[in-house]
Amino acid sequence: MRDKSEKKPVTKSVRLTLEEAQMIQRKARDAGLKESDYIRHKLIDSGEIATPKEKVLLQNIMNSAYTALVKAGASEEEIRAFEREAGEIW
Amino acid sequence: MVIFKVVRHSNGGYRYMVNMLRYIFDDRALDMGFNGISCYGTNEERVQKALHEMLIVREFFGKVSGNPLIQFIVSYDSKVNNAHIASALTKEIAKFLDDRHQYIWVLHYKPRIEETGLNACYHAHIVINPVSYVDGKMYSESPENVHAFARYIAGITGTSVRIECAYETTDGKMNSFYDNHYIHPAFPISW
Repeated sequence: MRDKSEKKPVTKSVRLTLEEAQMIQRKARDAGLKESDYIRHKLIDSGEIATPKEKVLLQNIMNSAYTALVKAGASEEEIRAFEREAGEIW
Repeated sequence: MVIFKVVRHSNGGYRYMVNMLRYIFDDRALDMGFNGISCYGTNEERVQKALHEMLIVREFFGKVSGNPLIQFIVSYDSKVNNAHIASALTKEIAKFLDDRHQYIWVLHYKPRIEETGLNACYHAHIVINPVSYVDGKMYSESPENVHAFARYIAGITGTSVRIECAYETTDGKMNSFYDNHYIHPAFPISW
């Protein structure tokens, strides 16, 4: 059951040209998000570098790179530095 | 035969997430001579980071409450007598979730002999973030979804799969059902 605090009772309407509306629709589709999630992401999480889907894909690449580093015998210091940089994704 | 369990604690909250991840990240998974842990879309070295990354996805879609985690347990029979085979099978099985969910799987070893004569030695815990990282939709443990996953496991392992579900009810009690429900592979493999 969804918590009351997570409900979204407010609706904001914005006037757009047909082209602008189509652009938002296309960008949301490209990002794999619903239009409302895409708009919320852009306006509220504007400092974020990526959508959850993009972050998941980046994290998987980082996990593979981490495994390769360990197998290659990287030093503890190098691994910690890598972890710090990888942490920037989230 | 493989035993496939679906476990859900709807009311466990954040504490359940922490306890579950601590349990599956314990030393048993690391005592096999190789890394018996793998993650998809989360950090695989730190429990707290994995938890944090699942919560970020939930927060993005505004779904922090509700099922904190869903756990699948795949218990292999005695024919899977080697950690490397169990690991390879688990890796393939977990791919079923790749398209939509972050997950962590861990391999545990626990010899036991049941009344039915099964000798399950290796079992895998697959813990998923039920909120999809793609569109924020929650994973539904509907019979269709559970059966689809069980059919996939039957296809990977080439053996029959017995489904068991354990869901927490609103009063906090665990409700088990689907006992003795079997899915048979289309193409059985003799090990």
